[in-house]
Amino acid sequence: MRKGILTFISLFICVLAFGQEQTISGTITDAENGSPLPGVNIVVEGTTMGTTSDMNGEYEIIVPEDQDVLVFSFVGYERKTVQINGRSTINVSLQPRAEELEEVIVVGYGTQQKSLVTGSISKVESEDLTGLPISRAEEALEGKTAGVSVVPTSGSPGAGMKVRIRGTGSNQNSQPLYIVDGMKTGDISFLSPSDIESIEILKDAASAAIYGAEGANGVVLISTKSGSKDETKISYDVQYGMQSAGNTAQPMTADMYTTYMNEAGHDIVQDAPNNVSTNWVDQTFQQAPMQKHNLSFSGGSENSTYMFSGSYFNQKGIVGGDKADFNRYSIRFNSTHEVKDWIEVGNNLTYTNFNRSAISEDNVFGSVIGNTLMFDPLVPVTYDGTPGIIQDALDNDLDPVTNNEGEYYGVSRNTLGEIVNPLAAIQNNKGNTEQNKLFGNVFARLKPVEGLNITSRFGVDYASQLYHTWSPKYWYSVENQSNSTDVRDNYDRWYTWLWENFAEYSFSINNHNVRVLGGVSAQQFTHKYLTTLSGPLFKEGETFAQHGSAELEGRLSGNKQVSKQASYYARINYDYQNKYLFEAAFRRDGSSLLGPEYKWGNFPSVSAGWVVSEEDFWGVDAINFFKLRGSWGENGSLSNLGYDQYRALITTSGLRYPTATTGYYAAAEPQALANPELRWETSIQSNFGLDVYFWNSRVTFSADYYQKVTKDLLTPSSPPLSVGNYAPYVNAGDVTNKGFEFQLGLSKREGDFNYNMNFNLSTNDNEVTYLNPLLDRVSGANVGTGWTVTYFEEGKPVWYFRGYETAGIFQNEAQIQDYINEHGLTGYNPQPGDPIIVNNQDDGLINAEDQKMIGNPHPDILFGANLNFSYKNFDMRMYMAGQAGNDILMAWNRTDRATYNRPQYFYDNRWTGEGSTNDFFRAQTQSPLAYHSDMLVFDGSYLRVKQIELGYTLPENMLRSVNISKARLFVSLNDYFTFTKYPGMDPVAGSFNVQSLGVDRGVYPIAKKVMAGLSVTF
Amino acid sequence: MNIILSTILVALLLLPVSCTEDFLQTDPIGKATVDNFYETDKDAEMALMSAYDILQWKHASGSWNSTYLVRLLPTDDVNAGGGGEGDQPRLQRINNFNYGPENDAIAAVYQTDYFGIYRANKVINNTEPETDYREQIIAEAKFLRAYYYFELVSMFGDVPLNLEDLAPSEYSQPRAPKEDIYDQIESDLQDAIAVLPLKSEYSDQDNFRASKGAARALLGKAHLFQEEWGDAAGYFNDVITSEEYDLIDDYGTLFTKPEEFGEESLFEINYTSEEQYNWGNFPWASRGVESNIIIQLIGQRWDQGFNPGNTDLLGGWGFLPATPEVYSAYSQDDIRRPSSVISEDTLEAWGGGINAADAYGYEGYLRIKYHPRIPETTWEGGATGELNYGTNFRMIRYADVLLMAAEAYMRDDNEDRARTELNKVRDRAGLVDVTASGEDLFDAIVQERRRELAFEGHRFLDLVRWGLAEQELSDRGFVEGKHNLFPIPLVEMRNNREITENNPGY
Repeated sequence: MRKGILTFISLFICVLAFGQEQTISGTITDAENGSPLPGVNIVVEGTTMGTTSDMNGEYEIIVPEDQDVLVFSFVGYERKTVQINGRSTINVSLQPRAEELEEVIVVGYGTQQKSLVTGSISKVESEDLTGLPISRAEEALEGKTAGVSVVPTSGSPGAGMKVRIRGTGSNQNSQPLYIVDGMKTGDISFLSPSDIESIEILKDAASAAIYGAEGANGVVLISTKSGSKDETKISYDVQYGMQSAGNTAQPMTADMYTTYMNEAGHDIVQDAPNNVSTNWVDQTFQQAPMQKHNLSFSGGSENSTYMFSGSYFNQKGIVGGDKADFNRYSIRFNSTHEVKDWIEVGNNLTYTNFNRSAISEDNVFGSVIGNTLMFDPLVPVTYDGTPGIIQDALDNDLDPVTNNEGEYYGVSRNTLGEIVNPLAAIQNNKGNTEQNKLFGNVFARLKPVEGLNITSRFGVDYASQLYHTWSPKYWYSVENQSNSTDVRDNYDRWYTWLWENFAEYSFSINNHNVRVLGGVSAQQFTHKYLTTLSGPLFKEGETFAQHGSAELEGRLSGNKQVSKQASYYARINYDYQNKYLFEAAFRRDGSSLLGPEYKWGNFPSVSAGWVVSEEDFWGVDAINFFKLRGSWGENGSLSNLGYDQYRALITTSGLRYPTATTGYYAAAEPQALANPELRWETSIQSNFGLDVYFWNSRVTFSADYYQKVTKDLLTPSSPPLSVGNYAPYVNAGDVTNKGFEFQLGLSKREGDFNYNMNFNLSTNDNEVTYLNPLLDRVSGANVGTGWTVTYFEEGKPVWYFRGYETAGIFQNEAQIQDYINEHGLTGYNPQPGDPIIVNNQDDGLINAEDQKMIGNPHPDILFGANLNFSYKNFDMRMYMAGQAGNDILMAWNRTDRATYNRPQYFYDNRWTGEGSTNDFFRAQTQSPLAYHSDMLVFDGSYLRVKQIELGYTLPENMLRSVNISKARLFVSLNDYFTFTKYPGMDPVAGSFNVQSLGVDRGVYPIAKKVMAGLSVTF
Repeated sequence: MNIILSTILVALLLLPVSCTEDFLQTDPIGKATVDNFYETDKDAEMALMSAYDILQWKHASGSWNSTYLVRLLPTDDVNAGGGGEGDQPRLQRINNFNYGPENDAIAAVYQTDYFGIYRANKVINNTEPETDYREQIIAEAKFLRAYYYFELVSMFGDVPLNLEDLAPSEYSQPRAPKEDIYDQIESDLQDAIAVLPLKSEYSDQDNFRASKGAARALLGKAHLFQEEWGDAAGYFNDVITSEEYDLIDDYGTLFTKPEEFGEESLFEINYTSEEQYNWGNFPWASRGVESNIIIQLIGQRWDQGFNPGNTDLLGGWGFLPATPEVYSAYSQDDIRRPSSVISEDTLEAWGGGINAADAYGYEGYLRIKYHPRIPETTWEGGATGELNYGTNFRMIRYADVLLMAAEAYMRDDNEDRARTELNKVRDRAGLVDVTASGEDLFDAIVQERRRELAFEGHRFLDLVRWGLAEQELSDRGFVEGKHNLFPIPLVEMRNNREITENNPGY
């Protein structure tokens, strides 16, 4: 250890220690056309000393006497190492490289040359991540690569992402598997995007098959940065910006609200002060800062490399400010050491601390965002003084909410229940989640003989989390009050270990190149949790919000969950002359979540490729590379399986019956009917693709077609009700996703003006192709009171919207009578201005049986464009993402509370008399036939300009004197422009619930940002 | 060198393989397996309590499924009410007689009855009666099984008769004839009566448990519903002569906390304020709700201008406002009326009021029985009053037994005894004795049951079995021959291969 530290220190000392010196100069040219190359990096090997060539390709460098090697490197060219041998002039010519072909990509348990890949793998590199003001790396995947859909669950700082690779494959969780430096994880919020070197997305089954059991929804491989043996670097990146709300939905103004409610037949109470019209959205949304810092040290010596970094990220919310805040500190240490020529050891370790506060959203029962859209506009934010309604409350010993200045928040008599003043609700929002996490692995790699690598890798994912909150006394209205305080602390501890041992042997005989991989692994996951609650606090306030200062003992609950997995896997890669490519993989996984007979799952795959352009007969000069490839494979998933579902166990959890005096009798019962036949969810995918590169790879094109069938989805089973217990889950559903993916790249790298453009487009068709015939449809998410809106049903997209279909608006009584007579309807009494409900079930009744599919939340097309331009020292980047063909339901509506405020859309588009409109209903507040209809389903297509960035790299000669090798300043607009027809909150932000895709109950919108940044390398 | 490395390699590859099967074996945490349960008195007691717990859940769940509501909604005593026609449409439809097999609230009644039966069967089939306590527990389970089957047969007619643990291949069971269900109910209750303690033999804490008296009353009711008058009268007489029960003097206190499990009570479903729920911790969707959330649902809504004046009433969510018909069923001097239903004038006289224009389903009358009241809940320890009503549902009350006895004796040609029992109830209500006989006497019993037992969930099934439902309810949508029974739920129809025909009209 001490030696390690000494090595470490000596690496820095050598930067400063210079004795005798020699000056070397020369010119650097392109080996193919002889033109001078500006901007080439020249480094004295093993040091941080270096320079870059000027506009004429010339350089001059001072080298200490004891150093004898220069390293020349430049993007797009082969790197070159030159011995000085006492020369003072060294001219160098660099060989351009056919980069697209030589590129190496990361695959499961190894790497592979891109030209030899037979599956469908997309790669995102660190340059695409660094400039983005994002907290999570997944966000950078949006629009970057074909076939990958990224939907933030919310714009709230620190919120998660829904990532879908090639469509929604399951009725429940469809998140891909994340592998960070070989260690599995379900969530990558702990990872600083600055630490990431590359992200590879394994889209087809053959590529993912080596992860068998968990690869059904695709695999995302993340590699973090490592040091270089040739170059010692200190980098510092900083980014700072302001966020604000884009075009969000608007509620009605006070006048509109009063008019609408009067038209709908409701009396509205106007309390003093009069003439108030509060726009709660404007009042609640604000500007908020965000910032990112990253400092890293990296380098290496002959036998070791290291990378040490520290990052800080902070984002405040555009709603709630400090109450919706995400703060993350992380440090990382990656290193490798070639201890002997036959053994290398190393580690990738990161420690993260994050702190997140969030305000409530996506809910019409009292969420802050919901309240901004639904609260009474006739009420002021705060009162001057103490009006009667507050005085009455005070007289009754109640606790109206005040702001920090002691002013009372406005209270409504029109909007009661859960819907309260959103600013008062923010004031009372106290929750906060803190997590400490250690993640990473240590490994040893043995090379006993040429061509054989044996790796043993032990990974750990340990996280400990505390959610702390307390609630003060409050009085929002007669229907929503609390006269006491309590505190709650919820502890979670997750611990996963994964031990993997695998060996790879590669050899070549007469242009037959073979690689064989085999391995075993074991994994254990443990989750322990404890929830606590006590109160009342002996004094109200954050400092008293501890169980020790509560007057009564509280309530506790908790449990522990353990699951284990064991796996065997093997893969063979074969190619002949880099021309005929073949790969086969097999994985066998066993899980403790399944019954004895069905524990094990087998997941095979095969793929093949033909590089036609390598054939002797290939004579098309314009096309330098042409490859055809195809793959087939099976992957599994257990992510939707809970604990002990295959066996019936006796549970007492939450079961008790009160005695006739005080206290309870405990109760116990079988928790569900057993299903010992539960087995793996499996996806079977075929993929066909081609890669064509034109004009020395300046234009690249790839196309893929895929068909992915997810079989044996876990669905609720349906025993007769008369059996008398909860139904077990059964494997009884199939989902098919199919589509095309296209990627086009254009690049030019010569002269002052360079560009690099990538376009991608993918189509997806999602359908439930089989469902347990005993189930008509499986019900999903609810909206408001009493409307189940999403369903899982054979022949329909996963979790489609179901509701009343309308055929315009009744314009007059005569039309109504005609309609009733035509369909022989009874019990249907619409008025002019009500929607015409299509009578799909010809039974003389208009009721829930007439509902049908009214929307599909899945996009038909995803597209993205990444445009990079540079001219001399200026660079510009534009990055866009969008989707088309998906529907969004405007769902912050309730039929049980008449007088809450509604979207301005309702006012502007309402029917106001015969002939006024045939598209939207009259002012009315209660009819489920209107509120549960397709009139609230909108086209959710959008195009969002994710980033426009302008950068300037300071000239080298300016920096050389201050020992800086590179400095770049940039400004950017992020998520700034969005083109959509959707009138709701945000067409991009989704929902936390997998069954609520496209259901907008008032989501936290994604902020638009104006950012500035600096990155410096020493 | 190579030998050492090869050894390491082989060891690494084989190590996980050799112990895989053991490694993948995990024991359940915090739960027992079925094999090692049902063995001790305590096990049996816990298994039994889960069968009681279903009663609590089925009548007041946070998802608003409630057998209580389903029994009350199809009558002329209440409108559905609530926030509007869009508030819980499936409940609104029961009030309009616009329901079919797809109605979730009705399906929940059927489902929870079988949940109760499944749990009672587990006790009866798995517990060895090796101790007196376990014998009593089995008797209680038989009472509960009979209770659930009686609800099924009276509401749905012929239903599957499941008494044993079923293998997955046996899940679909055909509908058994009503007579077979009643035979099972009678045999279970006779077994229970032989073993169960008298109510007075239970400790205060155990007062909620099934007693000999409750089993006799239920058995009498089962015979009454089969029009076996003599048998019915006999079991009611056993209750009356046991001297375990009496009418309490003040009808006004009958539905308050202090009278729970009181002298007039034979069987109640127990709810408690002990949990001190608030908006943050109320377990809406779970079985764990221990308070009576339905009470909150069926209070007048604050946002419909409700002002309780100087009463101890509280606002709720507006379901089940009373109809003018039920108000006018009482005479001016019936002391039960102000504790059952009041007019808006009365409310105003008490200093309160209501904004009728906004109140959906409100016709000028407030239902007082089971209305939210301050003493029935708690704000202690930070609790939210709305969520903590401890009000018990009174399922079998002595007054009900007396009126059923009156009916049974009258039909059994013992009009004197019938009048005696009927007049006990009338005396307490401050009304003069009935002297009528024949159809007039029957009519008096019919009227008295409506008034005495208003809003307790008896009227619909009474009207159906008396053949009076069409006369009383057709203007609200009741169709004779159809609505006499509730429909077998759609989910049962679809998943039970042995059931092909629903009840007539569905």
